[in-house]
Amino acid sequence: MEHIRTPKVENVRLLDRISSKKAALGTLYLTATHVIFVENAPDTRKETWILHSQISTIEKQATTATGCHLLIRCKNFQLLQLIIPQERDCHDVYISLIRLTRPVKYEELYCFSFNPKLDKEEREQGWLLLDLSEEYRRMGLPGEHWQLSDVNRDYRVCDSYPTELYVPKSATAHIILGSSKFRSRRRFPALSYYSKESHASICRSSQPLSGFSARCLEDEQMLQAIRKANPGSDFIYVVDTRPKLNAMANRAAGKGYENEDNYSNIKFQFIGIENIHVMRSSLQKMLEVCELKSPSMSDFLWGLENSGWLRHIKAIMDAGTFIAKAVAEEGASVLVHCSDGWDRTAQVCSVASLLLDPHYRTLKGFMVLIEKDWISFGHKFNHRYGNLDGDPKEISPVIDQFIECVWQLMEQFPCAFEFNERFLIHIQHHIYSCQFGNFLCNSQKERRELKIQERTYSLWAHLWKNRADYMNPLFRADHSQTQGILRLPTAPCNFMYKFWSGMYNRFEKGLQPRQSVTDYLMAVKEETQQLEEELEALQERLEKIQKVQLNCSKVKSKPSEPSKHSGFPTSDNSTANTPQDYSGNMKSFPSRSPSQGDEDSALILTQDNLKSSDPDLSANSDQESGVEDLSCRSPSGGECAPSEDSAKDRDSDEAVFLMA
Amino acid sequence: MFSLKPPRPTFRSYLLPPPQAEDKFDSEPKIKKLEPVLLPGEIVVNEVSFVRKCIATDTSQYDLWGKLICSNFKISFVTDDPMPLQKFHYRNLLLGEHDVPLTCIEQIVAVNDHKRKQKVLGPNQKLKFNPTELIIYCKDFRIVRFRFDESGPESAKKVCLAIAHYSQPTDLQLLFAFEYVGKKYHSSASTPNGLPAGGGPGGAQKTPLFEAYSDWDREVKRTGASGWRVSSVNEGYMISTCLPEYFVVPSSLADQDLKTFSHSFVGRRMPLWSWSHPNGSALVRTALVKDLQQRKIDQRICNAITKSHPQRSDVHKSDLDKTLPNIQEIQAAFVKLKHLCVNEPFEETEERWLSSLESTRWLEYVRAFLRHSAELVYTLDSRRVSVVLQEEEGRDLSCVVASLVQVMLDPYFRTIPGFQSLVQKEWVMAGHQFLDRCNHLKRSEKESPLFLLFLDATWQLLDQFPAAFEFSETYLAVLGDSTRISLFGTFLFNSPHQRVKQSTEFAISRNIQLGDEKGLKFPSVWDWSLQFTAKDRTLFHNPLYVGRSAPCVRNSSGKAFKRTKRNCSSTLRGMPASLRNGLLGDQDSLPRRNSLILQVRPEPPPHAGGPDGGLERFFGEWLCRPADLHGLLLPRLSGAHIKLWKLCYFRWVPEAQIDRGGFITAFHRLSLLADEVDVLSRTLRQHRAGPLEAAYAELGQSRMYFRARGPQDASGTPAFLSSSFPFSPVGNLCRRSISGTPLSAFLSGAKTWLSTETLAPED
Repeated sequence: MEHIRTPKVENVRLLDRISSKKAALGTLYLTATHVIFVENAPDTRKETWILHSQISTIEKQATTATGCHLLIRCKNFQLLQLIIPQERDCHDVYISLIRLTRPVKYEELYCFSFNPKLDKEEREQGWLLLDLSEEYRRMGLPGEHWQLSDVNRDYRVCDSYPTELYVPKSATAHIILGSSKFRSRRRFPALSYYSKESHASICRSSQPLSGFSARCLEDEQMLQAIRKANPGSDFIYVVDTRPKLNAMANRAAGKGYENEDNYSNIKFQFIGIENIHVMRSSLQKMLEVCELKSPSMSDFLWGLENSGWLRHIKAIMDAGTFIAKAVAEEGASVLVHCSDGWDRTAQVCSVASLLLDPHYRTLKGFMVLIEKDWISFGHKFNHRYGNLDGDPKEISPVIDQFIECVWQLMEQFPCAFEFNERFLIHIQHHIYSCQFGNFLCNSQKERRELKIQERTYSLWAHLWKNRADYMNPLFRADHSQTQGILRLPTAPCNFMYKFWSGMYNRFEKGLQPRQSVTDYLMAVKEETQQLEEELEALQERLEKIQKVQLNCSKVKSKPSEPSKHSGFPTSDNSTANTPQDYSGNMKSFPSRSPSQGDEDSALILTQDNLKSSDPDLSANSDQESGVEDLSCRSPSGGECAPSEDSAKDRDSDEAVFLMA
Repeated sequence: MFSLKPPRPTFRSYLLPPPQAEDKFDSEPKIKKLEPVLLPGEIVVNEVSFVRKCIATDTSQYDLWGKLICSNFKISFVTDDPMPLQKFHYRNLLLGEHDVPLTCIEQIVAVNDHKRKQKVLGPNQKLKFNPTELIIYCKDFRIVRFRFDESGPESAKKVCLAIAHYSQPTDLQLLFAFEYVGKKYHSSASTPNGLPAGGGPGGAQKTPLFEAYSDWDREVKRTGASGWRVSSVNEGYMISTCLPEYFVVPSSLADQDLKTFSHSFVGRRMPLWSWSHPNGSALVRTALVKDLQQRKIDQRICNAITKSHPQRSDVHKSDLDKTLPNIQEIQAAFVKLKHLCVNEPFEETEERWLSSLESTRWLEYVRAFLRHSAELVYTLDSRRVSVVLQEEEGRDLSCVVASLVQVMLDPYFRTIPGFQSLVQKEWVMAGHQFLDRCNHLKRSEKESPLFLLFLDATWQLLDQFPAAFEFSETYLAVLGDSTRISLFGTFLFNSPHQRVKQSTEFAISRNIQLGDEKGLKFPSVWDWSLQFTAKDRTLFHNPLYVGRSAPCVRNSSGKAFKRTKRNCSSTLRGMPASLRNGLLGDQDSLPRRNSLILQVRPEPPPHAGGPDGGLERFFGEWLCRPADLHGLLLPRLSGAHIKLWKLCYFRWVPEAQIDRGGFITAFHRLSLLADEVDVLSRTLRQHRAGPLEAAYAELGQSRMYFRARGPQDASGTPAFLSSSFPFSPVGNLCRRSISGTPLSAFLSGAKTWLSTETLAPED
């Protein structure tokens, strides 16, 4: 609180990006955790909440006659343009925000103050939702060739690795230790994914310290052990996800890549995924395209191409496809690395797993995948997503790219994933929000030291609890298609990859998709269910009538069973209604005002509500609550995010309105 | 990119002679029996046996043996060999699997690879070499290739020349439709059953063709246009040969006025009414006034239009020639797009895909038309001002703009019969020069894909509002393809008058008794049963589309509504088809037109502020409201929202095919659900109606291609689904390879036969 120079500024204008003429007048509040803008308009009092941790840059622009312009860019791609009447106020806000958005210790982060009003037990249960050992068991581990190693107990060998790691049985502690000394940051080859069917595995590590000529016997033995753990193949692929040039440059620093002459039976392959700095500037360029006001077709396409973003996405997908093919079609194991083995390696391993194993395409499986390949294997969340004030050069949208890869896959295989786009967007949001403890720190070791699980809540439990919002209605777990490997066309089809409007333009009201097929499907599903229920009720009525009829005369033949087409379950709880009841009910069904017309428009209305119920994604939410106590109140009050509450309010408002 | 090569069949160069002796021995008796399937009036012009149809570019192992036939309607390849690798074939009843209609042919190239010569074949040309292969470039982006290694060199040459000759006829009456319809007339002389017209016997709803007075009259009444009347002044095409016989004009203009005024307009195309907004604003299209001196004519017409407006509001003129790309630019863009999608090797465009796409300018043009139409929608809807589309001749860009405006404003045109009537009204009857623009005679300098541009723009709307249209993208693609089948009268002529004139001449020359009919009745494209089975036609239906719903079924108890928090989001189906048609049911309490007004215009228009500010606000406000699918639709025009229509342009590219992926998989699941809903509502209705037995008779039909087999249906996505469905890229040789590794195929020695530039042209 001591960093807040001014908690409240009045008569601030919030500019609308689409129509520049519309600016909302309101009051700006600074709290310990949020920036809040409340519109003055008495009927809506629309509120915009921004978490400090979401703010990526604050820019003070030139003062004009109307006031001082403040531009706030967020990590979830929201853009806020404020005009503050007094230059002094603007400066205070600016200085306060600069400090507030750059916390220096973890304890300042929102997750340590966030309290969703769950008791201790619920919180602990939340952290137990996912269990990595369970996941390895599911893969069929430990097995004939792989075992759990305790070599990294207490992080003795590698402090950015987890304690529980699977390694080939034939790899002794001596080999592992030797290998770890020959690898950057001692990240030795360890198992990421194991295929029960082909016995092939995906292992990951960092680059070897080979320089121009150095060798390490143990490291060579380690790779042999991985190969031998897969009796079905007499070689392994070693995939270096970097461009060859980068890898060669590393040799001068005593690092580099495996020499095929020294390692027997390996097939070495470069896959040119660029480094974090290239990716950061690529995203920057793409966002500049997004910020263009009414760009021409040519501005957009050229800008998008010049950003290179989709090309990078494709490179990651290609790498994942390559590995998935090696494992599934050739039955060969793959060792993947980049430089440190925590960025590109994480991306590529998780894309490959997603293509290979339908389990990762389920809601829970996807969480486990992130838990395994990203969180436990020491992806540096803190550095990459700038949770604490640090080196800006460390920041890079690495996991964003992975999430986008998943979206691109969902676009190509709309029925193959159990979850929907919203799920991905929420995960992306919370990676930056620091509202939950999952993505804190740079390694498992740091998280344990910080006692994250005792002091914060788990995002996975929250998402799981609200899983109804994240379901893809097109997905059916029992379908054959959802069980196999996803096969992408291998030709260099750049046109397969699309700009993800739902992510990068998600705060642009006019640019959001207005109708999604899945939302419609949800509605259709619901309708089906209602019809089924009514059918059920009618059937029972019919049965009763028939009984009566049968009692009267046994001559009457029994009509065929209506349920045979659909096989609906029948239950006893519904009551037989007379037709009079029925029409009575029809009349009592809330009639709508003409402007809402009919069922269809009601459907659309609700869909918009759905959209805005995305927590915090709808930064613009209508809240009824007063604003007096904003600065001390947790915005979410039990729920994760402010607008979710408010969306519910709106839902009920809607209902009231409809009834009226 | 990867050195890894997927296991491929051993490469066999097609330069080698094909499998010898026994193969030939086997196939010989078979080939003798191979006969083409011919339509009435279709005759075989030339044929050659022992032809190899190439299936893949990098291997000849899938090649098919058969007979290549040129008829006066199509080129046909007849074979007994099954098509390899193909998972699904959308069967057209008029065309065999390997057939290409002559009007679909873009270019014919004969190649002799021994002499390293090639020649693009025009009509009546000589060929100095014996072709070893024939490459057919199709207008729908396909490329088909035949090899003549084993066939008689002379007969191969003859077939090539025959194809070149018959695909480039010198006269309109040589197009197959004439022969076909002539035959039909002769044969129907004995049978009383005449020719199907309009929707035909198969169509559930008849499409108004706007050939008759009554269709126009009905349209005027449907839109509630007051102050407008149908004029018969052009009956017998007495005034203009490029106008329909009947059209709608301001009531205040007498026929005599029209006759006088018409002289001032290019092609005597005086202002034609297209459509009226419920608020009274009208959409009118006109050619330019020829002579600047006659401005006052223009003024008088405008006054008449103003008079026909209930508020007497002014007229907004939109000069399309000045605001939109011209037909040459559109054609140039399309040629570039085709080049990008068909010819250009992947390796070259890989890195520069987006900029290559941009440089075609196709998407930019699609957007320009959408944007301009949306602006006019604002004028009609919000400013309540009548719009006059002006264009030199008023029969090109106006067709696109007038149609798009109506699709956006009137939900009726988003149904199948409505859309078809729109095409009749704004394209066929308004005298769009299909003959020249589609270049059926292959010698028009005026070729331009305006109709496809319209279909593409409609697809953009469909893509943005997937539940607002009764039809699917398959329907749009098939409709586009149908312009290249010279059987239907719909897309064959430059004007209705041309049809009458040409077909009367033809009838006289063939001794056909026309009776009272004005010209021959050609089959209409809207008679879809000529092309597709009833089952296949169901692919036209969009499973997401919910017709104008009526509260027909509600759960009687409250329990249905406690299930989810979004309980009011249910939609209802099962309304009678007549209501979906845009016609109002009597006591149905949902006034279609009124609701449109109320929803779109909650308050009177703010007159303050310039028109541009108003436009911006109009868009902004519309975007903030939930879209009413049965009301106004406005396209989103940002770069991210205008997309390439992949099903249309990429369906023949093997590499672009995603197995069991693409939107079709969602379409499949949605169809199952929609079908399930249909079955349930029908069952319910039957329950309520009483006689149970009757319920099951009705259950047999479905409007969905994919049928639900009950809620426990776990059959999954059928293996034949791919992103190209229902089309199959197998056998199309636009890219290097079928196995999906063009680069490796290329490197392993496949000849780049497609770039025939390396061959010397025959002089």
